Amino acid sequence: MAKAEKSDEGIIVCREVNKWFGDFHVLRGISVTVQKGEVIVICGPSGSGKSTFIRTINRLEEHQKGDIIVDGIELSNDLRNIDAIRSEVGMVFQQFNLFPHLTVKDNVTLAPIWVRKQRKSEAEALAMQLLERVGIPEQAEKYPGQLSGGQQQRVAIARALAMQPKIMLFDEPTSALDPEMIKEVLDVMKELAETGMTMLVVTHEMGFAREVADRIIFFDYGQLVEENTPENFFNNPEHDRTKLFLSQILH
Amino acid sequence: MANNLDNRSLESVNVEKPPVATGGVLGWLRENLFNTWYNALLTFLGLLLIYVSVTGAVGFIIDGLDEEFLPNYQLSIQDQNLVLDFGDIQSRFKVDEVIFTIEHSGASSPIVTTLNNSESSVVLGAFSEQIKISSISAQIKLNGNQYQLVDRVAKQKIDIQVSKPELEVYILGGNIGVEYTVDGEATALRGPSTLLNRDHQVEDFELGNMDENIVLGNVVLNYELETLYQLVESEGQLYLSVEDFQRRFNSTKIFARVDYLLDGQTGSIRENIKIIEGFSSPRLQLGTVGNLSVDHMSLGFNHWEVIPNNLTLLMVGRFPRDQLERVWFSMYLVALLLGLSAGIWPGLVRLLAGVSGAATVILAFLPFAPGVQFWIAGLALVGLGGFALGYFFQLRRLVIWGWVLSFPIIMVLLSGVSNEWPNAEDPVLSLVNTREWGGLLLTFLLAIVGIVLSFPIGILLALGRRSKYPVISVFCVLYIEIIRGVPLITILFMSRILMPLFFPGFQIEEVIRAMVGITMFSAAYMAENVRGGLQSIPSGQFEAGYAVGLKGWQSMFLIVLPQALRAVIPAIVGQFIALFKDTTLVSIIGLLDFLRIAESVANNSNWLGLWYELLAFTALVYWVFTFGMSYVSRRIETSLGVGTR
Repeated sequence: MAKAEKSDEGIIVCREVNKWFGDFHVLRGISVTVQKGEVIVICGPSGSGKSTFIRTINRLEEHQKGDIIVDGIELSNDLRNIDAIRSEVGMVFQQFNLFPHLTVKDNVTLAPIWVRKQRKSEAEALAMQLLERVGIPEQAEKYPGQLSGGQQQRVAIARALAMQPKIMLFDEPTSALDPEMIKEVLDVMKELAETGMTMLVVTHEMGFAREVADRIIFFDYGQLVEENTPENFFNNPEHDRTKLFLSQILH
Repeated sequence: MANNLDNRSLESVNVEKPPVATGGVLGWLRENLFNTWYNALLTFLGLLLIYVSVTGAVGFIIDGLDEEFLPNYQLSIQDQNLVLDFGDIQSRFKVDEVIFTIEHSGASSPIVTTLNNSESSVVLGAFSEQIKISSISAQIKLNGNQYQLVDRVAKQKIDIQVSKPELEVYILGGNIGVEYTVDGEATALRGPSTLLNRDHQVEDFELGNMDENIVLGNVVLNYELETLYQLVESEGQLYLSVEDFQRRFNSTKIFARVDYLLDGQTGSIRENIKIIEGFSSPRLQLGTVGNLSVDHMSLGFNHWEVIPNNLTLLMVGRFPRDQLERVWFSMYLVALLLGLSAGIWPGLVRLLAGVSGAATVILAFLPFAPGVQFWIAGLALVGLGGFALGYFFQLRRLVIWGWVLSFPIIMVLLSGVSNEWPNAEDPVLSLVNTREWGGLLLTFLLAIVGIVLSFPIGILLALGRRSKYPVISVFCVLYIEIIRGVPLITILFMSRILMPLFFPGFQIEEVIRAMVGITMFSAAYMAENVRGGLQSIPSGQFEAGYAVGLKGWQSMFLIVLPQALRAVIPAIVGQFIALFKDTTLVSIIGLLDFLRIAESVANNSNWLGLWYELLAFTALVYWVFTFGMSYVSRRIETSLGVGTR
């Protein structure tokens, strides 16, 4: 709770965020503050709104009520604000969403060249550096379709990092992967967390949450049910719904 | 035994060939063509179908009928007419040549005359067996009203280079008569008999007072071999003395070239070959004719010579013949750009350029007129030069701009700038009315404009239809659905009839209107194809684009559209091919496209009814280009298919 006191200075500040899909109320007054360098894991049953929530942070989903302030910029309908925030916030998707018609290297350099207006050689040098960081520099000239799921997800992380974002959003990054590939992706994420990146991770990987997260947020029915440190979250959950959830996934 | 086996390598023992019946060609046949009784039946049916269609087609293409196919015919003289009666004819054929014998009973009058059929020229001449008919064609040049003979080639018709299109000359013998076509109607003009000098050289001759505006179609000069006979006057009548003939032969071969077509309908077809008075030869003395018998009759299915004889017409229509080098220069520009591109981009572009280049080299060796061959050879050389330039200098940007600018340049080349520049006598780029564009040239221009313009317009319409702004999307939906609900012919008619109504006083040339109509029509279909592609791209691609900070249009043009277009290449190319073939519909508004020109040739009195040849040729040309398009599309698909999921 100590961290919540400093909410005004957080890199992400969400106040009473509400969203509806038609009449369906997906997000019901979510207030979260994220400090610079924090790793937040968001978990909860499917349909609880956790994915929708992190997608509102870079405006892939529009919130209808409440405020979201990212790095001091308020998300409004002003396109310039949206573009500014999107280039500060990287995102990794469950289905990777790599661009299949471009090589791995081109996937990574596309945004730096077109958004950051980097020179091609510069962007390519950065891309190779990032691909080395995620452990697949040898795949640079291949197409996404020729890679395994784990490799594709690591390319996706490199692609997001190429914009040198201040915040990384992960939307169930390991859910579409075969079990033996999950670890290679989680390792990259751990390494990223150690470098002090601000990360919001929607995941069911409780081992990762316990090990890496600064805070765990539990969602259900579009509400923030519990916000806790990993230690307390797993050993000493406050809410009955959390206990039920943990008993179902940890049995 | 065991020891022996140990000493040998296990790899090479117990290796047998598969049973003969399961491997190789036989195995393939068994497996694919005869594996079940119904498949075997299907195979035989297929073979039968191939046999029936191929033998028919091959028979038509290579011509010729066996003696046994000869129809019943009778040659007789009735009321001063030489009648060749074929009775009932079931199948389509043409009489190429009839050589028949008329025995004459020793009177002084020979049978030397020119026979003319009212529908087409039938030239009969009397010759001894040893003397072959010499049919030469000549190249003549217009010099004021004088046509000057510049060249002649035996047994071949060649294009005449005159300012008016399609002047062809047959010279058959001594006295020269000229037949020429004025706007499709045959008119006979009897030339002076002094045209041939003793050395059988045709001298310059005048066509008399000819209207500047008449179009000379085919000029047929008929001459008879003078040396064979002499004119003698007897009792106030002219007779031809054929003493030589009588001394040597009892009968005279009469050679008839029959150019008309016997239509393949059932029923009695009776062709009368009416004997008319020759140019200056004596009247046919029927009294001298004894028995008639046909010695030889060659029948044919086809007259392929119609294609080379009308090639210029088929290629460029009525484009002024003295301005043809402008068409060539347009082709040179394209060849240069294609060569340059091939030098820069390997793979498909190089392959395409290579195939075009090879085709050009082959064409250069075909017996076109010498001037044409020179131009074609130059085309190949320019392409090759372009290739070298492109290969060594890699002028990428220049070449792209070249392609972009090539179209306006070609339009200016073809339509001209001014009749006054640099001076009125000899303008460099005189104005050519677009109505004079025709043939394959027009077909290409319509198709290329349609393809190049309808593609981007279609993409914009597809994007507009998905727009979240109702004004744009409703406009696009209305446009697409209205255009798709109207036949192309209607649109072309509207462009012809309604546009002048809507924009009075605003004169737009018909070709341009047709281009606009075709583009509008094709764009609506293109939009739907592209929309299909856009729908196949998952929304995650857009999201990923947004998430890395790309703007909406960047995500669309860098990420979604390339994938969408790749997904619908077959549909898009199908649309291009349909458009290419649909250009034939412009004949409905009076434009002379490739097919319409072919039709007009078949209506020309000299080539009357040669539908099969002309249609087969047009079909071949359309097929070559549409097949090329679909081949390129398949190549693009495979080359883009790398790494698809």
